[in-house]
Amino acid sequence: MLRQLANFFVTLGLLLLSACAEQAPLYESAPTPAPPPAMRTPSKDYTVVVVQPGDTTRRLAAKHLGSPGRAWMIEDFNDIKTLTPGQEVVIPAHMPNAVGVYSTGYQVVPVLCYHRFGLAKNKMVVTPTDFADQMAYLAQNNYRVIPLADLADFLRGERALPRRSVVITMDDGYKSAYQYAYPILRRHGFPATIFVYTDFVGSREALSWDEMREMTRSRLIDIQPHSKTHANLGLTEAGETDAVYRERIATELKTPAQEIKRRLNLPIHTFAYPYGDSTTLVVEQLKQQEYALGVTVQPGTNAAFAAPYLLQRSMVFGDEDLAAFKKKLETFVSVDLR
Amino acid sequence: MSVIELHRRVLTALALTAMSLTSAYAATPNNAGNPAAPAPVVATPREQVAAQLFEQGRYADALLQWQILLAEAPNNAAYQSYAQDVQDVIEQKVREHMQAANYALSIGDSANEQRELLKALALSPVNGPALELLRRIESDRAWSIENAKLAKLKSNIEKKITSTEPEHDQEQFYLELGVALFKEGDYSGAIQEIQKYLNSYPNDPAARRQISEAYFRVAVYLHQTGQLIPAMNNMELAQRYAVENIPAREKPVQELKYALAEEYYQRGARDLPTDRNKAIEEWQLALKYNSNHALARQRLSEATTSAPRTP
Repeated sequence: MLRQLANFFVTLGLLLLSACAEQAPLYESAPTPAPPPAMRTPSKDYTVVVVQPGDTTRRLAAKHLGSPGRAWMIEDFNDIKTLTPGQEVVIPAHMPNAVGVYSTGYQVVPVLCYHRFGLAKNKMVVTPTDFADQMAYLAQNNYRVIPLADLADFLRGERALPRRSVVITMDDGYKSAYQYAYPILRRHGFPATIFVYTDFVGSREALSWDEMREMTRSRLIDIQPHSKTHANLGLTEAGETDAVYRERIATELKTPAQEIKRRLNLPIHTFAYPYGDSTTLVVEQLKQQEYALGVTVQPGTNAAFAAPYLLQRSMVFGDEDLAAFKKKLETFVSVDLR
Repeated sequence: MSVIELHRRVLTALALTAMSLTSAYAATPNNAGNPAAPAPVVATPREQVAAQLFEQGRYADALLQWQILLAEAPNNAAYQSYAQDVQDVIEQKVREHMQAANYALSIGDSANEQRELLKALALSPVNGPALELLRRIESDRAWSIENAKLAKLKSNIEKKITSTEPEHDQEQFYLELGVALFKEGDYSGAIQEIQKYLNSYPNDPAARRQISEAYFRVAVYLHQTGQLIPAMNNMELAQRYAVENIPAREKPVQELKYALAEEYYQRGARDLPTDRNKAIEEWQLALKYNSNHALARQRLSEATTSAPRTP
């Protein structure tokens, strides 16, 4: 009897563990880019369904689009948040407008830039309480936090993003990202990208490679390069020749990429310029070295036609309130384009 | 065919369809056998939406509705015809907007060029040329801002002045963070942050004084905990960043140098039996930090003048 009871609890535990391990994703990007119009079959592009009792957008997405994380496609296409039994809903196989430009305006994506987190409020230090409030605001107001990597296809006009998409990034690789921000991001299932300058790793204030490894295993956190030394890549050093400058820039781009690939086995796609400063030479080298995107700290948002190596980011300061945070979240520019 | 003619043709077709649908009366006799009022048949809600969107000039949205209808009834000839007509209108208007964009470009009217390209893209989201041209405009704008920022930074550095727009410069934020960390006693953190500021403004005297002081305090701490070599590394950095001579530092620097000289002397004495060359280097370092270290001078002299022992 006791043995049977023990076996029951072991089995239950295993079932629960496996359920956790295979938890459905909160967000998944749209399917591979839509074929050109000439190659499409209209009957396969859209499926019209009548909502049944118990249907949710996640359930419909799982059934028709291969993943519950694509529920946003149904919600955005039909401009709905919830379903009503008997309601007619159109399920698009591909989002027809990959660039987010409509007769009423165009979609823009804010990329938020944090630095350090901590208990003592400071312009560059966001408290965990404030960060939690900001993330809760995003969750409660239908913003979709997406990985930075998803911007690449959007900027090529190949893949639609959810409406109200927002990207979260953190610069420099402070340990406080792991201590304070990561638990809050996990709670919401929000992805984020941390830009690390590799000379910083190993110091007391910096993330360790083990901490980065742990965060990336969650599949929420991505680590990307922010240079080797955090030097301003737009400035030459005293007496530096052009050839030496080029060599130094190549090292600043290549070294962190190699370290991240070697230690974390992550693909490299985006470079964050120290101080947000860049030159055409730096961008030329980024292109040669497999980077798809470059981010600055020019405040603003990014439409599908944004310059991919000069993406804008809005810094989130520790001494700002929630009202100031909300102003950084513009996701649509309304303009009559008829 | 012009856009206006296409537009008129589509609207006429939609109107005729609506009329034909409403005129298809089904006479339904009532229970007494008398002919009842005819039951009108109206267009479906989606057909109505498609027509309304077209009326409003939202052609891409209208086309989408016809495509959804076609998905449900792919062999519906009327739907195919309407979808094609709307597509024709779209293509015509896209051509007009691209021409207008080209004209705006030729007269240097970037704002209108962008507007016309956006209109073309709103009609046809797969318009690669429009997307590319918009990206070029955006890229020019972004580079203009970037280049101006760098030019200002370089000018400030040449003039040996700090940021003229501290509220906008990320460097200034690092400096403020560094100062805040210094006040909290986190000197290592302060050094990290102030160094990032100095990467762009290397001649800023206030920042140099701050980082110099941070290095000095770290050096003193390391000396107190017996870590003499790292202490000296930090002390040398403190000296490098110092803007003026600070008399209060002379004694601690001297004490550290003497302590380090003694440390190197002792190391040399330990290493001599096993590694004569290393011992010589260590005694040379001892004299570097204290030229009056008599024992180090004597042992160095002996080591360099005596012949190496033969086994």
